[in-house]
Parts: sequence; structure tokens; C-alpha cells
Amino acid sequence: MFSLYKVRGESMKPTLQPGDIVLLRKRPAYIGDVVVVDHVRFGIILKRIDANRQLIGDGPASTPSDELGPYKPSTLIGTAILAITPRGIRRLSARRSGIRA
Amino acid sequence: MLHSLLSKFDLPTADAHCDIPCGIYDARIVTYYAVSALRQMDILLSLEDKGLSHTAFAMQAARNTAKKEEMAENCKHQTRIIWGDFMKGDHLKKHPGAHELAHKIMLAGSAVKQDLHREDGEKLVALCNEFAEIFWDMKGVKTKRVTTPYAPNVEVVEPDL
Repeated sequence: MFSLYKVRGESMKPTLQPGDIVLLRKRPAYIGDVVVVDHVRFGIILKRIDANRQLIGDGPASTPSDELGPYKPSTLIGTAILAITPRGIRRLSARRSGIRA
Repeated sequence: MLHSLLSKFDLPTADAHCDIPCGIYDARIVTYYAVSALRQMDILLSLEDKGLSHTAFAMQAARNTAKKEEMAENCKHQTRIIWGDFMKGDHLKKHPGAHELAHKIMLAGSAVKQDLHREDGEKLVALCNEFAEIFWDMKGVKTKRVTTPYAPNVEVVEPDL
């Protein structure tokens, strides 16, 4: 139901820094959620689902979303609901957007 | 505190991918593909003089045409990556013409793919050289022009490292 993953890479800056830990919950994702998916090309990756249901990074250095492709629910490992960082703990869930991805 | 505690565990990692290899951009790849496309054009233009049979001509033309289009497309693709991922912010303030130049490369690359006019290939190389000069200037690296030591022996912009 819940799992922990460590963030590697910088594409989710400023939301998440390398080394931050995210608490995942296994539940359907919503638009705006940060998710961990098992991507067919890039492996286990951490990205956000944008309004067009594309996987995107929050930072400018992210792999272009056209390479990442659309979010596929079947690849979902979990939705990040909490960021556990050296700077404190923050909620991440975008469930209140109310739109299933 | 919780972070410090959890960090002691061997947690699985999730990649927040950057381009791989991260931060490595080099305009030489753009000119490399432009020159390669021009080379394929030269080979195609010389095929008629080779006295090949119809079958051999067709096979050779098909192969080099496919390669010409692949090289031109690679040139466009690499330009888009540098333009889209690397050139931003202050880079563009210094070189506001970068957008238009990238667009010109897209058009010139398409022209090379579509037809067999050598001047289109020469134009693609020239535009890519211009692009390379801008790119290296954005990185604060001086450039020099050298002639490729292989056909089509054209001038290309290289970083003066």
C-alpha cells in the first residue's frame, strides 16, 4: 500500500531535490500528481502528470515530455503523497484536482 | 530528522531524469550530420557516371537516398535538442536570432531530404556552422573554421579548445 523511494536526478527541482525521499501510496493518480512509474524506456522514474496527461519534470533540465510520452496507469508504481526532505516534510498529493489521470 | 533516519536504509531509487548524459551539449554533432547529408548528396549526384547496371543503380540510389534523409533528419533532431533544451534565458538575450536560425535549419534539412540540389546541402552546412558559432559563444568558447579532412572537404565550425 505504501512504499518509500529515494529521488535521483534533478529534473523535479525545485519540488524535489536529489536525495529526497518520497512516500508513495498505491492509489489511482490524479492530474497534477507526482508519480513513480515503471517506464518502458527510462525504467523507474519520478515525474508529474500534467493537464494533458503527459509525464513532465518540474525542472528545466527534464527529459522532454515528448520523449517520456503520456502517463499510462498500468505503469504506476505509486503516487507520491509526502516528500521527506532534509528541509522538512511536505504533502505532495494533487488529489484535490479531482481529475483522474 | 526523519529524512536522516530513512536515509540509512537502502531504499529503491526513482530517477528524476535529466537528458542523458546530463548537461552535455555539443554543436559538433549538428555540423557532423549536415556534412554527412551533403556527402550523401554528392554520392547520389555521381552515381550516373559510374556505369552501373539498372539494378545496381537502383539499389545504390535507394541506399544513399535513405541515408541522406536519415542524416538530414538527425541534423534537425540534434538542432532541436540544443535549441530547445540548452538555449534559454540569457543565451537568447545575447543571441535573439537563435530561434529564426533553428527554424531555417529545419527548413533546409527538409529541403535536403526532399530533393537533390547540392546547394540545399551547402546551405544546411552553412546554417549549422552559424548555429555552432552561436552555440559555442553561448558557452564562452572561441571557435575556428577548419576544412574536413574527408569528402566533401567543406569548412566546419569547431570549438577552439
